Amino acid sequence: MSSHPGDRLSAFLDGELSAAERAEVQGHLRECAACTRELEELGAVDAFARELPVEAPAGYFEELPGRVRARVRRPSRAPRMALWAVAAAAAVMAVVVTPVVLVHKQDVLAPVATAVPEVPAPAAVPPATVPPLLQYSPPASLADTNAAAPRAQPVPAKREADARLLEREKADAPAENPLSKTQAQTAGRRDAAALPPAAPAVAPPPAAAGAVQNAPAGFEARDAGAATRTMAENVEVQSAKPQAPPAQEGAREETGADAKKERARPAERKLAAGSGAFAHPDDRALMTDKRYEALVARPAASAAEARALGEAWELFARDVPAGPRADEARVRAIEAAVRAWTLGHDPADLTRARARGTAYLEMENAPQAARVRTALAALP
Amino acid sequence: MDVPSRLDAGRALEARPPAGPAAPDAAEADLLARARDGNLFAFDEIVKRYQRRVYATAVRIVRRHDVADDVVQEAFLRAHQALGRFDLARPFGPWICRIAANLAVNHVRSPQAREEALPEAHAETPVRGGSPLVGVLETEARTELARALEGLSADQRAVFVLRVFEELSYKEIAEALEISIGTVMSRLSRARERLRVALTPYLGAAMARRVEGGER
Repeated sequence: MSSHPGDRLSAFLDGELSAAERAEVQGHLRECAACTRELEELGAVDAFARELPVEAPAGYFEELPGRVRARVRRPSRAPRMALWAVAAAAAVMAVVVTPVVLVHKQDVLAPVATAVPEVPAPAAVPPATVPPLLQYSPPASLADTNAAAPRAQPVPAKREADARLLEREKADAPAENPLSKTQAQTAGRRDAAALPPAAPAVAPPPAAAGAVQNAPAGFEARDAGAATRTMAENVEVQSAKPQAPPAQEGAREETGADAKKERARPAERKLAAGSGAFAHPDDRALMTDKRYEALVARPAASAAEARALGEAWELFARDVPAGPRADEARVRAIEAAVRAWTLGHDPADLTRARARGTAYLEMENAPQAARVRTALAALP
Repeated sequence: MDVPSRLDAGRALEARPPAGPAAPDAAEADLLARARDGNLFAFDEIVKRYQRRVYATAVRIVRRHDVADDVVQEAFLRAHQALGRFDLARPFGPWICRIAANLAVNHVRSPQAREEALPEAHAETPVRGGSPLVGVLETEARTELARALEGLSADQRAVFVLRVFEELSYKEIAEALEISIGTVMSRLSRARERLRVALTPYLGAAMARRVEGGER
């Protein structure tokens, strides 16, 4: 009998052996029941593994596209050069387009104005604060002269994901300009109504100028604080807006529904009112998004960090009474407490983890009971 | 839009279109082309189409939801940045899954990952209850399989996931993970062998059921 194929059985199973090797293994299999059985078992392992379900927290896939969207809009590593390049381009645009813009419903831009005081100085503004629509749907005139500038740049360094993931909260929380995002979302929504679905993503310059005149037709005033905004912002947003790509129905539905849901939450409104910087309920909803993202990204490398994170999740769950996100927050609060205990063995964390876990499991139809049980299994 | 429960999410993952070199449909090529031209909504649609599959790839390798979440987001960002270099005639799924697998492996290798390793992961929680066909034995076997997968190195899991779930060739896996074909072969063989040994008590029943299922 030829020697047992050993390691090669796996490659044989995948049809990845050379013809000669394959023939050899086949010859052996005809004579060797043990290897034949082993091959069958290897195949069964694959089949069995395919049956193993993969679970994600409830609501996860409803939220993920929005989170990816938010990050695509504000690439954290876009070169800083881009910002002044955009500013320069915008200044040029200002001269050309501003006269048109100024006679058309300036108040649409109010949220941008309220955002300005949060940004310390133009030089310190990370690329993330460039109005998002401008970044991804630049008017042709901008796109032609500065095509590379505002777009997401291919990241040259290959292995930076890990560092970035860790730093995301630090980098993004202050850098985030939630109002720009809101502006983008609301603008996108309005444009969906204003433009036919087949509108090209990038219109030629004359069309862009024309669109500036046409687009605001359906816009309503949102705030009287328009006086403080700059001409450059004016132009950036106004000229970018008509370029918004046609909306896919799904995306619209999701953003719209989220915004509505958030607006209906008094607790959330109360919470965001403290910051005082937000003129519109959308902005507050966005703060909730922001807060959630920040918590998700927050590391818990020590017991103290994990404990604090657990508290933060619990607060979050309390502020956002219903829905998948609140549920996820509750579960994460439990996991954080478990982690705190694992890292520090402080009995208080143990008690906390158990209390939260028990409270969760006592809920009727706790959506993530299995996950919570798994987390609690790590406790003594 | 329906909100799948946790288990629904699992089923939805299994319901993904078959992997492999199937020709991408024209609608997808169009979406990708628009996304490449900066249309965020088109890209959004791409994310929605592939998020479950990419997440499954990531979580099967990293074994933790929060890390898988980071990997998935990063994979889509990288894909978005690299769309200009992507050949639209090729299927998007295997490509993005390769990106995700590479990121996942790199994450698991990172010092940060070692620091934050949890004692117990729960990427693939054995399903409780389920259909009447899913007996105690099967639940046990699933637990055993999950544990055995846990016991593999992330490198082994990555190779196993790309082969068994994404059905990539050894050459494609080697490229995705930047290793040699020989290494793919040996890691896969070792991974399967470990799983096989761990599952030996249950494989007989599983194979019998497959035969049964096939005959029905």
